[in-house]
Amino acid sequence: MPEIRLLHYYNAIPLPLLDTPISGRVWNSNLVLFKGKHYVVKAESGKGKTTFLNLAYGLRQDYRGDVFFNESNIRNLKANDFAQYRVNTFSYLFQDLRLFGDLTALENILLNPGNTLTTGEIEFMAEKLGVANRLDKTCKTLSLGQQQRIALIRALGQPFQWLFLDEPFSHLDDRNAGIAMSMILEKAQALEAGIVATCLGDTSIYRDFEMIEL
Amino acid sequence: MNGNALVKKLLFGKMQKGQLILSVAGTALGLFIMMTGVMMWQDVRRILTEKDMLGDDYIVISKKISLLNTLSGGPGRFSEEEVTELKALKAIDDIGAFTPSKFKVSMELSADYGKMSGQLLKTDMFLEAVPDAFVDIEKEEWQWKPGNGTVPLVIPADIIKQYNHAFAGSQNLPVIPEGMLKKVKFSMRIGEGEKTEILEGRIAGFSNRINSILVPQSFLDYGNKNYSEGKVTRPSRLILHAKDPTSPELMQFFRNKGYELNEEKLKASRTNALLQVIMLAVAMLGVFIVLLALLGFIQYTQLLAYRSAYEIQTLHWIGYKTSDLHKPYTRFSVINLAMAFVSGSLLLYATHLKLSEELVSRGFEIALNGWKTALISGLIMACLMFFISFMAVKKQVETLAR
Repeated sequence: MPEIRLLHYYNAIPLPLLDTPISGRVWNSNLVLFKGKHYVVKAESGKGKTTFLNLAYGLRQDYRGDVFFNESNIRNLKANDFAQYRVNTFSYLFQDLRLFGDLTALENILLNPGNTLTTGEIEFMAEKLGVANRLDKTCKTLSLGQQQRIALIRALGQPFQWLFLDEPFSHLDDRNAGIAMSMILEKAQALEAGIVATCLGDTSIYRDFEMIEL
Repeated sequence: MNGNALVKKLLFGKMQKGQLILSVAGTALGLFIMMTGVMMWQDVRRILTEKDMLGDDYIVISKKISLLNTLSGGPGRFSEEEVTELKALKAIDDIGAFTPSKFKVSMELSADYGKMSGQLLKTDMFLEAVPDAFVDIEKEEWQWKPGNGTVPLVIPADIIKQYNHAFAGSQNLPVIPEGMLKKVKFSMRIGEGEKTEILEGRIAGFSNRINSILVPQSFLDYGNKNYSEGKVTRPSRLILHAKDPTSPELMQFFRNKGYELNEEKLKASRTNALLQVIMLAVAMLGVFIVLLALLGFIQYTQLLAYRSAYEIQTLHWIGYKTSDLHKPYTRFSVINLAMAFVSGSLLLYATHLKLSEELVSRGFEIALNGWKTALISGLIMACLMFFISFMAVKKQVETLAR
């Protein structure tokens, strides 16, 4: 897979935000993110944090302006190009987690087409996050906090150059959030990946992250 | 469970068995009705247009018999000028004369057949001939040379029909299929007194257009030359080949000239044409029904995909290609269509067997093979249904995945 060194948002703005006042340095602006660096996008609800990630992930086409991977405009990419990127270039921890309630936690992780983890490695990570005894339960029986940790294992279980984290600790207590953060950083450093996280308010956990205000 | 099995579980998790059975049954029924329409259309058409040894476009005309004919002692004959006039008509392609036999012929049947065995039929016959080109039988079969082989005959189809449908039933005699009758050989005695000859005859075909027995021209000429003293006379009946034998202009011409023709037979061919149109309408109705079934089938698969909208979208979001996601539905469609086609075909074949049985019990002897065409049409329709539902589901999945 070719390396995506730069994520470049050029004069980009989602159509639903056209009528709202824009202040930050993201929308209708010129923003470049570098692979290997860590960013946290901070804003209140409704400013387009999720949309910011979804644009580059190929989930939305309703925007003005352009987004580039290096120098190539992502408007030229097909659905299946994005599908391929999602297997080995981008990994995404969705805000609404996107797990399958009828499958067990373990099945949810193994189902990921990019997954490289063995069952043993999954158990090891689940142990650290305190959900090892939940792996064989269907996801719909898990609490939101447990589900968020399963979704995190799924996201970290595949190769990536960029890791998107949409409010990744929203359902976690501080202790588990800390453990999750150290696992994230460890994996991202090993892969020399960029991280783009979003955050509503308190950014104290994102210590070495560059802050981007929306 | 491996990845594929998990994906399948997610895509089909909300399937309802009852709806599936209804959808497949509906498709099977739709295909069955369409195929039956096609089969009936083919078979009925075949029965209706049962091959006449004188083709469909032939007309036989004669002159009206009047008191004058009775006095003059013979039927009205066509003069050279009248034949030329007919030839000049645009509606008429070809014209031929009936040559009557002027020698004595009798037929003696000595075949063994069921309850008739042992009986000897003997009857005097009147033979006629038309130019060979007007008889729709293979050249090799429709020929005769002196001292060489069997005399082929074309007899009026009414004779065998009367026997099978009226006589045999009332007298408890077996019905005789036409094919079997063709295998019977009988003796023909021609000539009178000391100068006679015995030849072998057999039935080569049947015709609705004539009410006499036809033999090859060569045989008739031979008989007339060797066994009669009569001189050559003008023909009293003509056979015409017309582009449209039922055209009103032609009818008007014949009426003006005082020519008679076998109108009943022509009306029957009109009725046949009408019946064919009706059968075609039935087949069209079948196509319409199968289109409805197609709609139901596509909707069912689409509904199935729609019920798994979240799963399809999420699987695409975590990296599954849309083709990975619509292929299982395609496979599912193929299996369902195959099941529907096979059950529809079995029903069709059962119908075919029943139809054949009914026809045989009524004395028809026709090998019905409309079911083969029907099967092919069903297969084509099933493939078409597959293609359309494949496109529909592909589009549906791509939309849902977004």
